[in-house]
Amino acid sequence: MTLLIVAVSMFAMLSMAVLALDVVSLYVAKDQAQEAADAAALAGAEVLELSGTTSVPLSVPLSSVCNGSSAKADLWAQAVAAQNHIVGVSPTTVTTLCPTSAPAHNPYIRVTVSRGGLPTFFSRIWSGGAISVSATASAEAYNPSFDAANPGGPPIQIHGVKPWLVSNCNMCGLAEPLYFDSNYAIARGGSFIGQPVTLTLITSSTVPTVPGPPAPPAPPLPSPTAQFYALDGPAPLYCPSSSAVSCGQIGTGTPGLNYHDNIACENGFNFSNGQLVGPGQTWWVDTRSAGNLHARTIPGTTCLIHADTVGSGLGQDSFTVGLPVTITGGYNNPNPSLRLVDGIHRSDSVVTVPVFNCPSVGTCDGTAQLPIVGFLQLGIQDVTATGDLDAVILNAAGLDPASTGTPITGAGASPVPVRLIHQ
Amino acid sequence: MTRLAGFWRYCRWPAYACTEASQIVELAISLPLLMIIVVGITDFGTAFNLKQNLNNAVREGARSASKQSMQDVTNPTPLSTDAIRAVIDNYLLAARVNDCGLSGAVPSKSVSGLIWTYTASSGCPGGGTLTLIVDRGNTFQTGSPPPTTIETTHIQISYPYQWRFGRFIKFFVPTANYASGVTQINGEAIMTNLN
Repeated sequence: MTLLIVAVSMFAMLSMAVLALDVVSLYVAKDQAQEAADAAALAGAEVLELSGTTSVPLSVPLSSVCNGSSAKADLWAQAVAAQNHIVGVSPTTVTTLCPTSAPAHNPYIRVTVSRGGLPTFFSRIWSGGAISVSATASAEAYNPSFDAANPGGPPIQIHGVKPWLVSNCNMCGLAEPLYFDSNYAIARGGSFIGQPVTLTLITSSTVPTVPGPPAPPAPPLPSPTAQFYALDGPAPLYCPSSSAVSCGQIGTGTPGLNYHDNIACENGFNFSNGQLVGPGQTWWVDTRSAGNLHARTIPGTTCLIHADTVGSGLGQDSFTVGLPVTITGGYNNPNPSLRLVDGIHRSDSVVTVPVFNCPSVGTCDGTAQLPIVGFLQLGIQDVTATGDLDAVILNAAGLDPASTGTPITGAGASPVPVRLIHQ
Repeated sequence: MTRLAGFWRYCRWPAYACTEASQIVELAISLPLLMIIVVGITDFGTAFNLKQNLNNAVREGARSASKQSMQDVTNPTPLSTDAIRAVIDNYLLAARVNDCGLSGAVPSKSVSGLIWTYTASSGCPGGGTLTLIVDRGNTFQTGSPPPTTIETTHIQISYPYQWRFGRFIKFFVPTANYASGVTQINGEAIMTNLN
């Protein structure tokens, strides 16, 4: 009798032990499913960012980049989910959805992954069907540009901004400023997104002192040219090796002269809405490199974009013109798997630069404080022998200095932050 | 001996069935079985817990990697990669997992590609080795048309788990060779490089 009781209880105990194994292994699978969903959602949201739909939703409607099955955001999410294994194999189903009810400047993607046919030990006794786990994650892309649909949206905070302070040309006598209007909305209907631009350095010889603003000739729309000030600021954090292509001068300059290092490297300073540049600020128009700015722009930029030297097609990644912009890996791309590959998803040549307004006539000679009114995301094509920058504009993000609340931070350097959200 | 033989003769008749000390016999039979089960549950539970911690650690590392700079990956020992290692190491330590000295490990870089490998074996369970591989240039293609080549960070960790069940079962079955020694438990995560 006693042995019978022991046998029965032993069976019960063993059953509980094996059931516990089942439950724990399901928890592990659930965790892995969540990991896959998170990664997939972030990949999908990156398409929302890079496609330009947050900047020009009329030209690039959300449905063209995310339709729940075969658009770019869907494909990226599916591909990344498939790489994250759940109990040893890819998710069995991946569904994506970009709700059209979300604001055009703030779309998000919801990804659900599931994995069926999970191996179990004991629970199969009472469950004839396959055991499965699923997980859902959502990620957004947020463009802070002020417009009627985004009154007083939260500020953003990004780092890794390049030391090229681009003029908005708000006092150039144009019908509209180049990039951002007085409401910090994207000017000209965003017609410059996806278009090429040549940035030229403002030097002491080109800065007009009277009547004031740095004044390029009134450009046609969209403007193929713009001007920038070189910025000086704190030393950068992450620098390429000085033995990398065209990086021999990085980190070797006079201490304190950080302009060209900040081009090639990533700076950790956080920019947010309302940031000023100028005397008394962390960043100011570079006066210490006077007379040498062109020469310092070239090595910094060739190192950044991995070009052999000045000019196009010399090892750096290249960008197509027009939406959607695509990237082709150059033969010097640090990742051998991306060299000479059409349609790569990211590039070191994609940078974010600040855009400033002239506060008033006569105060734009670089000695006054200049307000940053937005960011441009650029794909740098090349640097010329005269230190000009050829680029394609990928995104624009206006910054309302009156925005309040907790700043939205994303991956770091993009002016359209991407992040996971609860939805 | 004579008394024991007498006791046996006395007890073997059903009418005089002897129950004295039967609990001791039952305990002697069931206790080892119970202990085997308890030690087994503890051992496998610890292994599962370790697996969970490793999964979480590499997930945190991958999340951190997705935000890390790619501008220093031409260095032999980039700060960005070291920051990823630090995130994983801090997670392990916070979860009370012996990090085998990962905090001081120096990575070796692959000849080609963007792969850094950290190995650590200081005080590792069972004299094993922890291996952490950070591949910042892991690529694959999306579906078409047109295909895009996505660059991701792929993090893999392999951790030695020292079984206790094997040593315990040898008390009862000296020739047993089940769940003994060290098994490498793995975790991995992949996330898109967003910067």
